[in-house]
Amino acid sequence: MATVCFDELIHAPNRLKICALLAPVTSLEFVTLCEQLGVSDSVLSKHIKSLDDAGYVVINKKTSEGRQRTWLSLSPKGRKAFAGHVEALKEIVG
Amino acid sequence: MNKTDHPITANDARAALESLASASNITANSMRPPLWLILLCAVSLGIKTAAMGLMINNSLWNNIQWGSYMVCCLCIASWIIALRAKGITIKVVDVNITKAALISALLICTLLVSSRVIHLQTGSLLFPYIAGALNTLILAYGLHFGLRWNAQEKEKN
Repeated sequence: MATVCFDELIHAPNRLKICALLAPVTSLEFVTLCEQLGVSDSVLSKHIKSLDDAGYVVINKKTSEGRQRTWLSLSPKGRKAFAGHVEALKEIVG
Repeated sequence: MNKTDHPITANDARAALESLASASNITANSMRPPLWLILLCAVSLGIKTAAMGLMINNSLWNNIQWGSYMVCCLCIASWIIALRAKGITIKVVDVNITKAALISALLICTLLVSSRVIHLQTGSLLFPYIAGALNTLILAYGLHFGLRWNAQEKEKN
């Protein structure tokens, strides 16, 4: 059971969706996340930077077939914060 | 200063939970294998179940059993590789397995074993075919709807 903790950083609509999309998988590619969110690269980069600064996201850059692919995943700290935030939302709803 | 106690209203929280549910559905839909792969995987498991029951002292059924097992494993491996090419790496071992997934897995294993045991004990030729058909249905249904159910169940919990 996650600790109930409202997190304003995660609560921003796009960042909440980023966490929700990253939570059930090991990692998602940056381009895939852009498509699923329906936002531009620059918007996503800004949100990922905020999450990365808080230590919620792990950024892994790999080169395959001559092009660089950026993989994103939730860190253990990020998973815990997201689970806590979801619990807090459920508690507020009642 | 990220953490505060109750900075939003119940309606805002409800809207946020709804957006989480829609994001979970997007993930579940993008991770779902194509229908032909689901059918191939489910049918090969069904053949394996039936062949496992019927293979006693019969090398043909034994070969069919191993062949269908390999097809099933190849289907799963190709699905994981295809997802990776699409930019998604999945959790192969998910520690947060849901109750429905656990029950399905146990049921499939039980049918696999009972197909053989019942054939050995009673000599029934029909039961391995029934067990095979049931396993085909359970796996096909689970692969087609399972990811969405998982997402919904995790939302509820």
